[in-house]
Amino acid sequence: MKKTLYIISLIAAIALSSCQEKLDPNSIFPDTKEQLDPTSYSYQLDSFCKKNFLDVYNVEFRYRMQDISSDMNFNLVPCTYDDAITMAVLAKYLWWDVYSTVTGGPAFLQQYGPRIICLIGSAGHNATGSVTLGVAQGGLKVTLHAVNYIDPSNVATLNEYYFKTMHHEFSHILHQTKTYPAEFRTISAGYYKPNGWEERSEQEARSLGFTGNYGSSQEREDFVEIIANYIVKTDDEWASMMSDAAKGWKQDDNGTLHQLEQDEDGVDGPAVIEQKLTIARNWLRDDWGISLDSLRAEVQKRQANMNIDSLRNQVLTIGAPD
Amino acid sequence: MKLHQLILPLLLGAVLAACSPRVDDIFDNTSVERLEQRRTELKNRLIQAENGWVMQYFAQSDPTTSDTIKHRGYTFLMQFREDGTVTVGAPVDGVFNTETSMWDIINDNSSVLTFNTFNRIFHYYSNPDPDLGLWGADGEGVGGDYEFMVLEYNTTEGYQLLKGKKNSCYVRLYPLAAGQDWEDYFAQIDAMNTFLFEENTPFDLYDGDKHFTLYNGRTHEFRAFTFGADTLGGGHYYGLLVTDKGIRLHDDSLLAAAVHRADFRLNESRTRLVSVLDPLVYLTVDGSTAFTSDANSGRPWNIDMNTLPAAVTATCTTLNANISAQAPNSYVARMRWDGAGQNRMALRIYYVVSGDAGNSFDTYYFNTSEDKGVITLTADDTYSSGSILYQFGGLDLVHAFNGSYSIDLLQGFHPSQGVTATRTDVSDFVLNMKH
Repeated sequence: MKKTLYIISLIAAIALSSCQEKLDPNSIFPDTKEQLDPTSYSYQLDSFCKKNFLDVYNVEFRYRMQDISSDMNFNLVPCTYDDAITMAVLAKYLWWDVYSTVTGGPAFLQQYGPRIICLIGSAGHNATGSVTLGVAQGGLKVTLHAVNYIDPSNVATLNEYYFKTMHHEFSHILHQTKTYPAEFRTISAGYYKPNGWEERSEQEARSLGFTGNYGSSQEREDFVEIIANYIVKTDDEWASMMSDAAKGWKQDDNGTLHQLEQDEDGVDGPAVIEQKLTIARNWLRDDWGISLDSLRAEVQKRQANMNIDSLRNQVLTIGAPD
Repeated sequence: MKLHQLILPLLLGAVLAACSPRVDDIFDNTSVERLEQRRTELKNRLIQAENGWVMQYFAQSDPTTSDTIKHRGYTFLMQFREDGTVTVGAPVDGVFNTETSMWDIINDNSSVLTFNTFNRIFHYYSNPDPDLGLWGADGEGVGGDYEFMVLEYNTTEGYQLLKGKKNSCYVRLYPLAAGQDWEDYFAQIDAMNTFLFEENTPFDLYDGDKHFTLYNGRTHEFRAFTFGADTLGGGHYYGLLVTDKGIRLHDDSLLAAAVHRADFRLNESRTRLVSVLDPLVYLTVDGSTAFTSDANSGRPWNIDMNTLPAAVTATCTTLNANISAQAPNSYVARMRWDGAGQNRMALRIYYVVSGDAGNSFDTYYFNTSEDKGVITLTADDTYSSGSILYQFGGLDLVHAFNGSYSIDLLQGFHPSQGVTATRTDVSDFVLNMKH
């Protein structure tokens, strides 16, 4: 009987192997390692992205929009080629180069950085009237929205809409990899407002110990907003925010904001923000080996010295290969 | 015989039967090769059009909005290039403009034409920016698409069919004639739009025995009713797009499948928009429709008093004599048809009394019925209070208009150029009328 079983097995194996189709060695997906076409209109930007993102970090910088890689719940449009150039050089200058400098090389981002950066031209408009400026997904992809509205001459807007979003979304990827300390969860418990956070003014949220109203939506947003705001805000901007946090605020029935003579919410806003910042600082230091203050200093230095034309020339001066 | 001695030959036989002989391959090459082959074919087709393409594009609105516009059509001109750029041309705020961005054919769910970097002209209808002030001001956009599944190439009409991935925008690409200036092309569309829709008269749509009345063409979305139906509510919204040669309808709900969504081209006499696929399917403005509809829309029809038919002139002469006998230098000055609601018209007779300004008038009412473009007027012998001509034989003049009329526009689609109303039940009776 044993011998019979062997024979049956042998025949079955032969049968299976003889019927098997060979897999096509070619992927149906584009080969990202293929040679760039120097006659292509986008050769300069593609070369820049290949050299600075793909070759160094194995990151695809996806500025040509594909709807399947975007959030289909939003109505979105692509970014312009020109704005993609601006965003590519800024992402390198104020995000990837910053972490490389602070961590001593590309290894950190090679290991923990996202694999895809997606640019979207429009903002993600939510039904509540708020807009989504960026999304981090699964530790793999960061999507930056509203790229078509980028104005390199307006540093405050750049900070609010783009640089803060980069650090915000990357911080999501970091805490999705190693979660933040449990003690953070208890600080503002009871004050989060997942639905209707937009109804809070920035000042009211700060008075409750958040850096802004979006941070007051959920605990994880609070955590990354602390980091992102600390990194991109100048000393004066941070002090102004803390000043708001120390006061009392209230909106009247018409939505007009009034400063109260006394803070009535029972929360010491500045102290709470400082407490959260300390947790974030320690988490980055202990879990990631990164100094938050060094990160901030590097970003602040780069923001102060930023010359957008010079940055864009990194792309626009790329010539065809010999 | 032992069991395994039976099983072994059976198993061996089954294996051999399963693998040999093989059936013929359906495809000659692999799926990857076929995808790439199709992608290359499509790219080449798009690039090789010497003067680019006409994109006829129907954006779909958000069905949850209260706005009734569902499938308004737009035209773009496009030149696809090998280097990955596409130049899009179209009027922006009434001024022709072009902008260049990027395109590609990607292998997605089928081969997909994507406009993957922003183009202010092309992406206008999918842009959710509330600042555009469109009615999709809640971030919804206007129902446009920027990724399109590439469907069949229609060799009969010579177009490439596309379908939007997200909003199912329905799109045709026609090669633009070599040498055709882009800006002039839109000027031709503008001229066609003005010719067809500058007067707000409903259209008549004929499809064999079917007859519909189409309202609101000026908005580029007809509201269609079966001819003669109550138009107070309902109706079928029927998007359209103006072309250089006529129009194209979006919806396929009213017309026979054989001609749905077909081009309708203006005929040589410029009186009909005729389906390129079936000459019996056409749109026009019937004289009878213009006569009743314009009158009911506050555009009355003034009867040319110098070309009155003899039958009317005779009764008018008698009436004038009767009036003048009471008040010298009194006479009928002019007459016009006014609207008086559904299936009803009013004949307004103005008269001069003792040489005054002639602003006094009597109003007499007629019932109307219509059959195959022939309208029948029957005086119901009612008149507005205060009317006085009836005392002097005015009703005889009114009765002279009783009869069936064939009404023809002097210029197709332009009732304002005048109409002739010819009695079909008697000879030598023609009324010439203008607004």
